[in-house]
Amino acid sequence: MDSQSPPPNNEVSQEEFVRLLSMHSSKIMSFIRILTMNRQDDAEEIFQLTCMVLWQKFSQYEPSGNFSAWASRMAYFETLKYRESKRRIKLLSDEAIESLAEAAMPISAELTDRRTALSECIRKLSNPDRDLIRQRYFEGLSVAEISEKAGRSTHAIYRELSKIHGMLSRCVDRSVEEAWT
Amino acid sequence: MNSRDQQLDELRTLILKSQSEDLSEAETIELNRLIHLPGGAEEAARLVDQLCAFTDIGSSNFLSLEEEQSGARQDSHHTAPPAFNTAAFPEPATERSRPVAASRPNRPQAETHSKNWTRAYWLVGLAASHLVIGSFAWSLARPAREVAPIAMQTAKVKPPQIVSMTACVWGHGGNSVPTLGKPIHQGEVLNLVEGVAELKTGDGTPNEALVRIEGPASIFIRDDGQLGLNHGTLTAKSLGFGSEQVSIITPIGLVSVDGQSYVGLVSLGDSHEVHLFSGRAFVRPLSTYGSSDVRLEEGDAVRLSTGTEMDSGVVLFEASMASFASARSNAFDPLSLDEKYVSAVLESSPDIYWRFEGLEGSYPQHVKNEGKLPDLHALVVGNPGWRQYRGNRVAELGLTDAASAFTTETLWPSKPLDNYTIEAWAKPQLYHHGEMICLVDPLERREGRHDQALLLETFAREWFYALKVLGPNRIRFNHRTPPSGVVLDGTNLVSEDPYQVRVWQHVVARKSGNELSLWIDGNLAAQQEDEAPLPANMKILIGQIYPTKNYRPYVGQIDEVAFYDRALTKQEIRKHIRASGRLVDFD
Repeated sequence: MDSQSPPPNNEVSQEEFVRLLSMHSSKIMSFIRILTMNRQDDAEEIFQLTCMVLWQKFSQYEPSGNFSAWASRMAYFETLKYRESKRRIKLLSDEAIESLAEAAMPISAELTDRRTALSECIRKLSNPDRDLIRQRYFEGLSVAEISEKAGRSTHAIYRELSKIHGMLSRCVDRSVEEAWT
Repeated sequence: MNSRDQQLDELRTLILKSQSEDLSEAETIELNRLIHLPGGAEEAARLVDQLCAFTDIGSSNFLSLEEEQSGARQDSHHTAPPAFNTAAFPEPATERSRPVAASRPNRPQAETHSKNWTRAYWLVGLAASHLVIGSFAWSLARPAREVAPIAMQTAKVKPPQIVSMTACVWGHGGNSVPTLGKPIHQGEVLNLVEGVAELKTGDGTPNEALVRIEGPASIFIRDDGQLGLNHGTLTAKSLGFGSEQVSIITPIGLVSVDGQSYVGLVSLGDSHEVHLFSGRAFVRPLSTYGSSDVRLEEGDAVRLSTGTEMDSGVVLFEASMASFASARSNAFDPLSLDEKYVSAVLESSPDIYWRFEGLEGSYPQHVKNEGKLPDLHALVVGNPGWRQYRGNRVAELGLTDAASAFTTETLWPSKPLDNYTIEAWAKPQLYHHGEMICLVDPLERREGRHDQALLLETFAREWFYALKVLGPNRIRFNHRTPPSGVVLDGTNLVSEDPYQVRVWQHVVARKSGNELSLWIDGNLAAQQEDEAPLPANMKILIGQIYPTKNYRPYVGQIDEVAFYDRALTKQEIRKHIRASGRLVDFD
């Protein structure tokens, strides 16, 4: 973070900013990671740019407001600016990013609950499904390597992974909802 | 698979493919089209969130898969998210666990940067930490603050650690889920949703202190190993000697405490209180409050608020332990009941009356039913504790991570009831969301979950949006016909006032015809209409919500639980309370 950024007008702001950023940084980070489609270098840069902007604009933040939502909105704009500055082929259009941002907000707000639920949901997968998840994400095999080992096409492996991720998404949603019943 | 599912499947496939290879132009166009379909963006966001979680595994461990293989299961209520806790700030580099799969040459691009990613968290932590310290130094640099507390001059920093936890639920938003005995490092934020956690700070140094945080509360660890309070309630006992040995940054400024002092802090919304129970303390308010330093002597308390009420600003008053659950012992407020009380209850002819005076029978042992129905004993689940008061013994539940509850083999009631009463004495140990008494459908819905027909529970300052509407720290009576597992189903009655912790309260849930009512200490606390009868043949549970899962435990003491197949009158309820010999004011 740029220590030369114009400070807000008093020490309350300074302490409050630190407090709020500490509390919400993981949610903001999670939000940005979704917008960057899990591209970490991009997410890391956007996160730091966002922190700077949050600091600069903190005097405009309404203290009774939702810091996480406010910060996510800033992060969304920073993401758009960052994409422009990179001048490279964009995977998603600005309109798609906007839709994704709207969808990402509640998901990043439930970050820890969703992680807990995901752990539980993985345990519920069938052995073959869990094996595929293990190979792809825990052992770090590429889809090409997995397909070669399994003697199947890469497309078939992608479809298989897609099916499992779909099941996991539904399971996580259900668990997060049911955890409170 | 229908057409919508097929399209979502295609969307996920394209996103997965985009993680490790470039999409063709046609695929990119298709991806953007699919995201704009109804539910497309949500599906994409869920999937990318999962991919983020899997990416983080590189700096985590195999817990979630390895545990399953060894057959080990964890109860999810009292344990931290085992493998996907990305909210955690990383440990210092020297102590950070080595990414398990970091050396794989073919790891997808998204996964190869996990070190960079965790570094980003670290940078934030560092920046935040520096800002705190910068701010701290700035506030100390004001003319009235020439002498920095000794804590700032101490070269050797001992990180705090948790020394005990009672019914702790750690929430999201913090970046760490602490473990007993493990150091908590600077910059970390701990969000305690429920329970009481005890921390030792500055162990073996002049700044040594024992701090009890009462959920909901959020604290952070400063550069000097001392604490900052974001919000909530805590008490701190400084164990060293000398002036201003322990300091806590709070939303109102710096609170410094002399050695051998005992202080309580409450910071909720716009109102912030400092209570000094013993010793000496200074409050150095931020300039916003327009107040000079406040020196507190034993028994003093000060409230600073920015609200618009009459007492906004700085108000001095008498310190009180009433706001601090952890400042009272479990033995506070004994419940001494004698035969007079028992006779009063038996005169009302309960179906079930559990006195919790002791256990009988062979495994599983039970508390004998002294009501009119045969059987219906309260079978022990796990390992409940007991506490003996003069002439009366009570059950003490939820104080360990193991189950401690009671249930029934025989079901109750034998037929649907338009009129019923459930009566108990309860002493919650802390503000928390716990099941004192519930009736559940004996049919297991799945994975140990059962639908509920009745809940009588303590409530906390809820963090889950659906329950926030019910108000914090209240007693909730929920009547659900038909039984259901959906959070707000049925009729909800919530006590008008918060319940008291570590104080006995007489609680009655009653249905009389169409009228449901909740009575606390003989006074009407809530009332609603619901014509549906209580369903027949339910399993009774005391102390947790599901028969075989230690989930949503009630933490505290409970005694003299009685179930009636009729509505007790107000006079009967009050007669029971009078027979207890306790001083209660009736409205």
